[in-house]
Amino acid sequence: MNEVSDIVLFFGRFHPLVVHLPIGFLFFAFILEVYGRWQKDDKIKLAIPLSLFLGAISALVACVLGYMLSLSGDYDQGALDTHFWFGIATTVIAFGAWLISSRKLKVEVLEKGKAYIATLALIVVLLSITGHYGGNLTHGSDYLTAYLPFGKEQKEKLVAVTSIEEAQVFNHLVNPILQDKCASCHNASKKKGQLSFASKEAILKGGKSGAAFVAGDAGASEMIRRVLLDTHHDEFMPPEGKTPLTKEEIAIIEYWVNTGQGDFEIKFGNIESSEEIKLAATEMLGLDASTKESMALANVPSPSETDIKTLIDAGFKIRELVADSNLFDVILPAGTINQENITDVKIKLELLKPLKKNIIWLSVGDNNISDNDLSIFDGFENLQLLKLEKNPITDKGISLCPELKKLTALNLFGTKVSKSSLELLNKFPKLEKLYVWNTNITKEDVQAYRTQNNSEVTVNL
Amino acid sequence: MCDHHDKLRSNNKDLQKVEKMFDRREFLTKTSLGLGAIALGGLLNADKAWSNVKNNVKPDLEMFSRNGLGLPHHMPKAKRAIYLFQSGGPSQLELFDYKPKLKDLFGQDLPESVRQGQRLTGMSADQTTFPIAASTIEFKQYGESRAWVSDAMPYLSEVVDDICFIKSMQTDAINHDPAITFFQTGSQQPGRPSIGSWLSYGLGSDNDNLPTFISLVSKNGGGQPLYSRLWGNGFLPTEHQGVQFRSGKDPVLYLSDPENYDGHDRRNMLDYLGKLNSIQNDSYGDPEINARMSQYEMAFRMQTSVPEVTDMSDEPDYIFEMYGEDSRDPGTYAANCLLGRKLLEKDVKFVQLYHQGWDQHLGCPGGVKMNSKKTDQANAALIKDLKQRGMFEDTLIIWGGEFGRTVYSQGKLTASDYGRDHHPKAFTMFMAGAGVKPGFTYGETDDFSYNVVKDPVHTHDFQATLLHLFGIDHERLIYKHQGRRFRLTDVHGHVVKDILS
Repeated sequence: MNEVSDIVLFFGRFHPLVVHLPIGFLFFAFILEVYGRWQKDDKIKLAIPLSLFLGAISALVACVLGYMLSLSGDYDQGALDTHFWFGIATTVIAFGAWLISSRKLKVEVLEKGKAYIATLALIVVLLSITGHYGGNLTHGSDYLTAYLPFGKEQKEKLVAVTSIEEAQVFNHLVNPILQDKCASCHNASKKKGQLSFASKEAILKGGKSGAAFVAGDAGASEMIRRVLLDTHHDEFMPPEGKTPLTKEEIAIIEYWVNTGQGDFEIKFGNIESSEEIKLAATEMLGLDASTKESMALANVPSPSETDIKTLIDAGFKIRELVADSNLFDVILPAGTINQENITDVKIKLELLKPLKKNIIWLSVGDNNISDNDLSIFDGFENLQLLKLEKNPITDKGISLCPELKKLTALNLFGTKVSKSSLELLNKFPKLEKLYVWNTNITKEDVQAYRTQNNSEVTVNL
Repeated sequence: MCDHHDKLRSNNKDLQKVEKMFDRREFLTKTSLGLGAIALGGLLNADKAWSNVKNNVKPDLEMFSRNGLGLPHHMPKAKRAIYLFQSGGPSQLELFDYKPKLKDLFGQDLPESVRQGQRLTGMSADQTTFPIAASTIEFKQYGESRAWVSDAMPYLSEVVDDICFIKSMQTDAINHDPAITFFQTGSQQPGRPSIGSWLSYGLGSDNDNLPTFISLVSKNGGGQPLYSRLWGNGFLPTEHQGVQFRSGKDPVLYLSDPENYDGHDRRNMLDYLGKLNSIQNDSYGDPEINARMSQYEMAFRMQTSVPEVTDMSDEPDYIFEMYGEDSRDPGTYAANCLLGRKLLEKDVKFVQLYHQGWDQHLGCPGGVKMNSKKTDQANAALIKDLKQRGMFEDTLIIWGGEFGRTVYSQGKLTASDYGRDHHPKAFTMFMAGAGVKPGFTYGETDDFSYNVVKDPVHTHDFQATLLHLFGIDHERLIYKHQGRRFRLTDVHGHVVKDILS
């Protein structure tokens, strides 16, 4: 959804550029004042109103642009609010300072020397605070202190895992949850209840209420008791207003404490796990089977628009299986090729060739496709579902059909194939389901084939 | 001002006079109201005027359903679905949810610990006792999956290994209309789009000659009324509404040519009408004008495609025998199942059957048997037929009602007869085909089939799972209407991953 129009965001992105103008102008006004006093130079002070005016105006522009930028929703609301109000305060006070310095506004108290310089100093302080929070928004709150030469341990980089067995239960599963849901209050610098999840040692140390967990006994573990309380309970964690842990997340932590004995190094593959835990863990690690499948196929080249247009003009229906994946479901509606235009078969099927890597599902049933036409499928390396039903195809067609490495389902119902086609199925190594109702294949053929070849293919008659 | 004048000016003098009059009025209306409207339009559309409209980035790619919605979100399993809606609330206790312990409790009052003060309908709330009624229909286990099916459904028992039963369905509503509306639209109040409309809106059509969403109501049901809004589009554009096919001479009303008109100049008429409508569209930009134009065109194509698809003469006798004798009588449940299969074969995305009559407040065993007799053979035949045609790969079959029925008898309980009231807290549905585990049973109820004790599946969870099978993340299929973003699952729903194959 694109509700904030692009032009707003376009201008908004000038905010980081423009903010430096008020910083310069306003700080310069402060320097002029200090310098003027020090050198007893009243002339130089004449430039202060102009400097303040430019500072205030550019601050106003920066505020507007900043607001536009904030509409993108990319920023943490809490930090954003602080920056937002400090920015507005700076601008308002800068305008006030200008009005006073240019004598447009007469506030006697503030015109006295000390109060006046205090206003300018306040502007500088506000500027610094606003700037700091702004910087945190852009670079993250640990940007400034990340390379502090003392007191900060280096974070270990986590190696990404490709299979769930290799995953370390604590580092890959439990710790990300703790860091996500707990560490904003329980970290090295902010230890609510004297508990910190910043390191293994800190966790083992526990907090005010004692140990964080008891290895092997989730029921007696304080950190698990707290997240399982009624949400309105005073001791429920995380406290009101923060996102509570999900059922899966709690299950994972319990699993680590109970089955994993709270071991910080133990691997997922080395301990027993239930189906639910496996499912939750797979999902957490982004190893979901379905996403993996489409990820693996995501590199298919984009077909040319002309090729697609030609196909559509020839009567094919094309649908993208996953948005912007370049993976297609292609249908030639039944009866598009009939006895009258039977010579078109070859021509129409040829049109599929430019998309041979893109076609995942293909339905060409009941279109007078004959044996020789099946050689067309050479190089259809991603094809998973092929529907050839009700075409005059015989065993010869299956023998002419090239190897299809990813084919999982093949529909041959209402064709003229017989049992010798079953022998050819090994050219479809991934085949799981075959549909051969209303063909010359009988139940006995299937039985014989299955016992002989020890085949796992489900044959539907 | 606009090009009405050249294109539409008639040659008749009288008419021209009238037209002039209209023009003056038009002028006044457009200058007074029009200016205001322009100003208001400018205000409201400021966003659009500023942004480059993203949908126009790849105009040519829209031709293969890149509809700008970013759908499907993930790899789909199902391309189409047929939803066999058993309206009235079929009794899970007489069909699938086998509760042998109830026999010993016959006639005893339902313990309060089971009911737990649950809200009842006005029909049985004032009963002084809630006597437990065990099913008088016997159950047996079938198939490799050893699924329990009652003797009321002998045909279905042959295909249990293809079926995924969900015995822990739950809904929020306790009366028919809100409950059906809730199942079909995700809200108990009317006005939201139904499942089929969401699918049509989200995924578009695979067959330009037939509607994406078709509903069939069986004529041999009878019982609680159904309303066409159940297949309505709600606030989605009108072309996504379900089209009802009826039994009888005209499957779709007003589709055939009127008497003494052969339709030879209809194409011209539609072309001219299209011109008029696009002028109208240029001036007002109301999306409903587009919807109407596409509906006219669809109706025109349906004049050929509907008679073709409803023609059963191609079907061999053994197919009719498979679906049962009723299937030769158009409009019956069995005939609708067969028609449903034909529509699915033509790549109609969502076929919605309704069978009324499952509302057994009285005479529950008899009523269940009677309705099973009307539907069982066809249900099983549809499953077998789709399987043998290889359509099981990408077609989803759904069977279920709007709620279940109570374990206690409504009204008088005798050894052989009893009634059952509406029960939303536990009932059975089943699915089969694309993407669901075959020969699988999910969820459990207590010994009274009253409360779910394991893996509850709420109506919203079912809807989320259905969309998931079509490659849609139910949290991301959204339509903004009157300032609020709407989803089929509102703010609820979890995909039931455990039933996915």
